[in-house]
Amino acid sequence: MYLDKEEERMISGEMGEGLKIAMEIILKLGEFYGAERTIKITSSQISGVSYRNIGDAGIDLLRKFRDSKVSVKTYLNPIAFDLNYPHDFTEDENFISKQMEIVRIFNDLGVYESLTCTPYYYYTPSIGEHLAWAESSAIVYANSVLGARTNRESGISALASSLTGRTAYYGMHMDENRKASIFIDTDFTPDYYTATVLGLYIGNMFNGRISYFRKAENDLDTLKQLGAAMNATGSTPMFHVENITPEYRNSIDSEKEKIFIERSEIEEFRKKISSDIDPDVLMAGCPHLSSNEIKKIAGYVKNKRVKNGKSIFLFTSRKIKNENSEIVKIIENTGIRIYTDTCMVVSPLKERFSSIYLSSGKSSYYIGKEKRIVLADLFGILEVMMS
Amino acid sequence: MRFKGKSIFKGRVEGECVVYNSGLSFLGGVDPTKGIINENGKNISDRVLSFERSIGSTVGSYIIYGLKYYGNPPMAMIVNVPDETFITGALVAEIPSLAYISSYIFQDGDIVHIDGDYVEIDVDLKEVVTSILVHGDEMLLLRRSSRVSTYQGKWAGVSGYIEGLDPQSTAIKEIKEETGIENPVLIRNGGKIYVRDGKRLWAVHTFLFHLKNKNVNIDWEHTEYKWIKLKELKNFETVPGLDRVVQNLLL
Repeated sequence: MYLDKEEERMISGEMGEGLKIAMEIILKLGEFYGAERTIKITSSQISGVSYRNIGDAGIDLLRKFRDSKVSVKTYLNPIAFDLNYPHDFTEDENFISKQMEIVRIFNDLGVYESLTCTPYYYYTPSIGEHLAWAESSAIVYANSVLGARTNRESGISALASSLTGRTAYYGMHMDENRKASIFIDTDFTPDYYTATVLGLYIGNMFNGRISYFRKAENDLDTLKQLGAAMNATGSTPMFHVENITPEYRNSIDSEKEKIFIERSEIEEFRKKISSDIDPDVLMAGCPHLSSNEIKKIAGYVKNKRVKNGKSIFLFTSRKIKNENSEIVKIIENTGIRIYTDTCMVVSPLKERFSSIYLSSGKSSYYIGKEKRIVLADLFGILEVMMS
Repeated sequence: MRFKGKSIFKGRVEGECVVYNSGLSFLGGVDPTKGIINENGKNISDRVLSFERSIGSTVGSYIIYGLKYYGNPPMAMIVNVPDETFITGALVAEIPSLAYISSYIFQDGDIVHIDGDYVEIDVDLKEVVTSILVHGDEMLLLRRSSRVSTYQGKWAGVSGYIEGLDPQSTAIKEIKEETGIENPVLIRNGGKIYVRDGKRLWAVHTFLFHLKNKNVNIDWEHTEYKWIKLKELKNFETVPGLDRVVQNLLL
């Protein structure tokens, strides 16, 4: 792989140990996937920030990079608690202090507390921009909905790209790898709720492949749900929707595999993963809620109260919560709590409940491995839980 | 027998193999503090771990590094299909690792020598073809006679050793000999899969053919034949790996 002068200096170690390791990782990935050169990126997003996941080993590994600084806009995935309310999530002081240590290590590298799976609400890349993002739902959103380009980075390779400002030029960065191989038609137009179920169903069927949808509601939050669910069950890096997503033109040829999915088929599938029970808690915001979702929820819950014995937790990013402080007040006045920096999947909050209402396919997939869940339409659940 | 892969982190080691013939997600799938695969409790610490593909959370790199950090690193890792998460994990943990060698080549307890891009084990490799013949939604199973050298009485596809001819020509020759059928229509060349049986390692070149009718004339190599539906396959006592041959060709 061709390295420019600066990259040669990085790999020689003369720019420090952190950059040396980082450049070695990029070079190795490039060699492995047949890249001829690197490409400059505008943004990076790092997974593996939660102490629950990476442990003391993760802290040790991150410290190896401490003599370097990030060189592009860099975002972090959620952690196990809201930085403002750690004790709402855990009593374990050692755990809190270890988690804060990880956040400090990132601060020292020049990364600040975005702590969200939706970096695109912090910085919206343009069509054709190259990124190194590691959060799976953000990867599929960036490639599909925004037309930006990122491979499925690991937490560490995203950090390496963040420090060097580069990634190896292969995979989803190249036009020829962004075509669909399955054509999906439906007898319904997937909306905010049905898209999340459809995503789980399709991901499960066509692992790793790029799908072309004949139709879906032209709504960013619907597309976010579709991609997040599809990536949870199927690790797909991208999808196209006819007339909607930026690269749908010429993304599929007529020879490809075609399938037709009926509304009743995904309802049958939903019933298999969703229990017929009435949980006491709703957790929504996977991926983190957008301004638009928060506004819709506020419009719906205004002047209502969460019923006695029921709890509702919403998750979003710090930026979205701050930007919508008036609306957040309306929602919190009903008894709903809105947390930032964390979510129902990565925080220990779910441990207190035996069953949970969920409105997103991605969270159902992960939490459904441990608990009984009800996957249903967000506004239908709010109707049941509020008066 | 020596196999060539592609090294991720070069090393020269010799050790005992632990095999996981499936996709492995390091986050959730491996406990780095104990050095075990959670699902089956198998110890991978100080062993050569061979698995089919790396899947799952992009946090997996930290878990691979964790294996080293907590003092339980595998001696080496062999994966058939790697992803970015595995590659970065192997690099930062500095565990000798290589890719593009199937886990189905190995079995637990094999002594494996690794040197850069190469892996060596003591097996007896034989190249064979296996063709699956289909008509409509049925496939043909043949029962091996007592006069063939291996797997007598077991159900199989149309198979034979590759000697002289290329795999596809061998497949067509064997179909004519064993079923009397000429000019079957090739639908898919499924490539090569490995099937391990003790010291014997079969490299099976797999083919899917379509037949215009169900008329079959078996020769001395088989005692009977049956047309079955795909889902009935599990009810038959087959030669080892036939389920994977079928899966490879039909799914």
